[in-house]
This record gives sequence, structure tokens and C-alpha cells, in this order.
Amino acid sequence: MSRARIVKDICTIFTCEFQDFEAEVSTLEKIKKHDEYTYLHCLNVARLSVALGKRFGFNSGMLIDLGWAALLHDIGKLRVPLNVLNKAKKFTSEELVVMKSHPVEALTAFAETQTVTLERLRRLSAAFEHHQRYDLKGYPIVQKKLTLHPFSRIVAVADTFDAMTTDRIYQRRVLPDVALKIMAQGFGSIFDPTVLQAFITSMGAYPVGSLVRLSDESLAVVIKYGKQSSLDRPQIYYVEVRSQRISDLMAFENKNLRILRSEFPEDHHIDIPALLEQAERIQGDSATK
Amino acid sequence: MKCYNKTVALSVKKLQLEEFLETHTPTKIHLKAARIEPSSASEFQDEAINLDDWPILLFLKGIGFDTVSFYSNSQSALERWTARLSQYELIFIADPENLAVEECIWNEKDDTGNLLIECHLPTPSPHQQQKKQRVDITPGGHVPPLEAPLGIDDDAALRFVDEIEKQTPQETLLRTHLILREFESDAKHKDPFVWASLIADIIAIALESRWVEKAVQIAKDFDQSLKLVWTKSERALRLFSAYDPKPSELRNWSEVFQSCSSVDLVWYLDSQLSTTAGPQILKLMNYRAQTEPELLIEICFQEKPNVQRILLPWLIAHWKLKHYPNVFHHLKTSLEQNESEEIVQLWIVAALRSSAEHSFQDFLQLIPKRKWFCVLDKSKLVFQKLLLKVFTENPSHDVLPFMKKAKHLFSGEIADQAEKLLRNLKERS
Repeated sequence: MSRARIVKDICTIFTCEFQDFEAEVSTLEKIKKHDEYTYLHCLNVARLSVALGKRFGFNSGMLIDLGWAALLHDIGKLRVPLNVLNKAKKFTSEELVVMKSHPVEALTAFAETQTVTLERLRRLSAAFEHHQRYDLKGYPIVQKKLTLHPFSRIVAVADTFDAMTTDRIYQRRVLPDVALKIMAQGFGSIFDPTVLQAFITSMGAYPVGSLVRLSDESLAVVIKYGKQSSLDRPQIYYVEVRSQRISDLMAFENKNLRILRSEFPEDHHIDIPALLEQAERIQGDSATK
Repeated sequence: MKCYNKTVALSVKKLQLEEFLETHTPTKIHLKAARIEPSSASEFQDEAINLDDWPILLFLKGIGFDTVSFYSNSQSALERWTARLSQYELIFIADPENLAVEECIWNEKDDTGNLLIECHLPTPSPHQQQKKQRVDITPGGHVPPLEAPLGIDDDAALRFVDEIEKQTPQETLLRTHLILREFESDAKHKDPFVWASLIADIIAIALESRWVEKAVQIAKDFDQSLKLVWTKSERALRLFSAYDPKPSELRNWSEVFQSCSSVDLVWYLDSQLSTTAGPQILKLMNYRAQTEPELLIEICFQEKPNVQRILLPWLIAHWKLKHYPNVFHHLKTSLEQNESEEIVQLWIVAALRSSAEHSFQDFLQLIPKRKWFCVLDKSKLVFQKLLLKVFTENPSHDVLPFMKKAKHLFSGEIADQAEKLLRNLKERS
């Protein structure tokens, strides 16, 4: 049951001949059993990484490799005790050491769960390197510096974004647009500038699904970036029931309108997926007409 | 992209914040609304600001702070505060899970403990308080699509793809070798068997990629750990099967197996010869017999007959006079203990190879003349039979004098065979 669910989850990200990846699926099953949060995080990181890979024009083989590299990037957490992994309060220095050991522990977790092949080693790079930083000043510290594998550079960006924008027991999530802006401080130092630039321009300054406060004080959901859109002027869908409509911030009549900030949907009891669906329906209807 | 590349913009805006605070302190900045609230003494109106210009404030907003109050316009205090928070921000960006938010010092105080800068958290809403108990996440629930057609630098994208396509097995192995080195010093509780298997697999991959040099390097780096792998035949067989060395590569290739003791190698030779690893096991054994025969001879003397049975054929060319006493001792023991005819025969050959002269003298003791009143012990009969077999298979000229001398010691069926052998030897000479 669990395996079928995992395969189904992966298929929402990429498809592959699963019989060729039995060991990988089993490993993911172990991660899921060990800690559901880590499993979902791995799925999200894979979703973002593969989407970014598509923007780069990766071929299907590369996308599958990248997808697995991202899905297994936290394999080392299999060896981090659950009481440390899910600790709600701050880590003690010993716990922090254990937590920080997960990229290194990836190697053992990997050997325990899979027969090592060249292809798998290539995918393992991301598990070891995703916290090393682009300038190699992160962890684990290695004696001989080697440029990070391109997959590791993609996974590092996706990993940070997902970690920032996910609620935790002890910390509310960061809004996606704020997360992107904070991440931009790591441009060229923590993150590969090419990757981060592609990530941001593929997502837009206010990613689709963001609830935004406009300069006229109205609330809207970002629904799409059109071909003509600029980074911070997407197409939006007004939230207020009486004035629900789609609008393009690039349109001439909106020239004086701008996004002030994003806000948490739950603070306004707003169901974003439902609004996105509504907007999609409206767009579909108008396209039919 | 311009607005995200702030390396230069940052310092300018930081100065602006400093300058602004110099004339407008005390000030309260609302992070959520991105507005500066004027104090009663200020001359300016409630003013909207762009937090994008002040990364530290944006970071504080991201962490969840609601408001920042500046009570002082001390430049040094502002610099200290900014520097500290920038460090936190870097940790947060590199690994959001590793920033211990509760540990961080968010406020700035002077020497006497007076607050100079204070960061305020919002009062949690009932909704947020409930959330603290449990966080529900659904796969893909909050992941925005990456479909904004805002364009990426085509050249950069091409270079990136090119970099992936050009990744060679060598690069992957080099990277992995570094990881292994790091791991060895870092991981405290690694399972030695898992570790050994991992190293073996990586060496096997290096060999499969025809990078013998790297395989040797890894094997040398982790020779102690690798010792355990030879007890796990699956991994060891993969190592043997990984590469079929050419004669010129034997020396280098054999170094991969340095940690495999010859006793273990004998076991593989005995039990795994029919596997895909067989040819390489033979090559390694042959190489060892050529290059370190003394070691193999030592093992042969110390080990049990099952090991001796495998080793003895490899040592035929390496017996010397100095080995004779030991060889003869083993021959006698194998006869006394009724070992298999194969082993006895191999010891006879070993004895003749190490010293034919001593052998001929001592063999006479082992084939005493059969007397009518006693039955010759079975081992002696076996010895006589095997001795003749050895002589028949390897008829050398010095056998003739011995046979002439020993002829009368053989009796019955064996005497007939001895007679035949003697005839043949005479004809040849």
C-alpha cells in the first residue's frame, strides 16, 4: 500500500520505469516510515528541482536522475534519531552535530539500502553536497574543494525554498515571495547564480498562489504569469466575493496599481486552491467564448 | 533579475537606513505592512517603505517578527546589530532548519542593558496557537509552479546542461572518493561491514569504469576497512569480476586486493572458480605465486590440508632446499593422517622439487621392504603407488639411480609397476 502510494506520489513529479528503481523506491519507503515530514519534504524538493530542470531544458534521462537525486537528498536523515529530527525546541550542540551529520550519513544510509552503481553514485552527490554552499563554505567541510555537482546546486535551492516555506511546529513558514527575497541574499555565495536566477524567474516575484495586498488595499491571488508579465506584475484574481474577477497587472488600466506585500491566507480564512480553481474555470470559460 | 542582485544596492540602502535613523529616532517600523510609524516627535507622516531595499528587515519579517523599534541612532549599535543579524541570515539561507531562532539575540542593548533596537513578535492568533500542536502538510500543497515565462539566460542554461552532459564517471568517482575520506573522519558510528561494502562497491565501480589507478588509490586509502569485505563473498566477487586485467596491468590491479589475505584468496579459489570472478581469482593467485611465493609457502606450512591442496600446485616452481625439512615433515604427516592421495602426491612433488637428493634418501625410509610375517600399513602402500605415479608423470634422469636402489623394496602389483617404470627410464637414458 505504502509502495503504491509512493509510486503515485512520484508520478505527479516525473515518470520512469519503476522496475529499474526498486531500490530507490524501497529507500523512499524507509524514509516515509522513518519520518513523514522528511518524506513530504523530499517530494516537494523533487517537484521543484524537476520543474527547474524542465526550465533548463533537461532531457528525460537527466530529469529522472535529477528527480531521484532530489527525492533521496535527505537519505542521511534515516540515521538521525527521530527525537532529534522532530525536536520542537532548539537543538543542543550535540543534537546540532547529529543533525548536521545527515549529509555525511547519507553515504552509510545509501550503502545499507542500495547496491552501489555509478548512476546511483551520481545521484548521491546531492545527498552529500546540498548543504555545502556554492562557495563551499557550508557543511560537511571537505579538505579538497570540488565544484558542486549541478544536481546538488539545483537541490540546494529547492531544499532551502521548501524548508523556508513549510510550517514547522516551532516556526511559522516564510511567505514564498519573502523566502525568494531572503534567498536572493545568497546569490553567488550560497547558491549558484544561474540556478537561483532561473528559479526566481520561473516562479516570479510573487509565486502563483500568493495572496497579495494591492496598493488599493484589495486582496488578490496571483494566478499566472503571462508572456508579457514582468517579475512583480502577474495576473491576479480578486478575492472579495462581490468583485471577483481576473485582472492583469500589466494591463494599461492597472498601471497605477502595484502589489504591496503578500499575506498568509489562513489569517483571512481564504482557501487558495479553491480560488485558483475558480479562476481557472473563469479563464477556461472566457477562452471557450 | 536586477532587483535581486543586491550586492551593491545593499550597502547603499544600509547607509540610507543609518542616515534615516540618525534624524528620525526613535522610530518604529512595521514589517508586515512595510510602513514606518512616526513617533510623536517626528516631523514626517506615516510612510510606506520597500522592505526589499532593507534585507535585514525582510529577514526579520521572514522569521516572523512584526515590528522593529529603534530607540537610538547609535551608528555602532546599528552596525553591530546588522552584522549579527546578517550572520543569522546566512545560516538561515544555507539551512533554515539549523538556525536556532530561540538562541539568537535579536535585540541590541547598550553596556548598561538598555534596549537600543527591539524586535517584536506579533501576538499569536488563536489559529496559530492551535497550529503549534500539529502541522499538516500535504505533498505539493504549497509548492508553487515554476511556469512563469520570464525567461532564463539561454547561454547560462546551455552551459549548465552542458556541464551535466560532460560529467564523466571519473568526476563522479573523484567526488565520491572525497566523500569517503570526509566520511571516514566524520562518521562516528558507522557500521564497519556496511562501510567495507560501500568501499568495495566504489572500488568495483572504478574498475568497471576502467580506472584502475583510482581503484588502487581508494583501496590503499581504506585498506584497513576493506579487510572486512573479504568475508562477504557477494561484494568480493563483484570486485574480482569488475575488471579483467591485461598482463601489463597485473601488478597495479593486484594492489586493489592487497587487503585480501592469501588464505581468503584460497577460499575463493576453492569455492568460486566457476563464477564470473573465477578467471580473475586465478590471475591474482598466479600473480601472488609469482611475486610472493615465500608468503604462500609459509601459509601452506601453517594451514590445514584443505588450504594446502589449493596452494601446493601454485608453489611447484618455488620450492627450495631450505624448505625441504618442512616439506618432508608435511609429507610424513599427510601419510600418517591418511590425507587424500591428491595432497600426498603434491607433497611428494614438493619434496622432490625442494631437494631431490634428500628426497631419494628419505623416501627409502618410507618404502620399507614388505616382510612375509607382517602386513604393510596402508599409508606406505599409498606412498609407493603415488611415488611411482609421480615418477611416471615426471621422468627425470636422477630417478633412475633411485629406482635401481629401491626396486627390491616394492612388491606385488606395485613391484610390477616399478619394474615397468625402471624399464622405461633405462630406455630413455
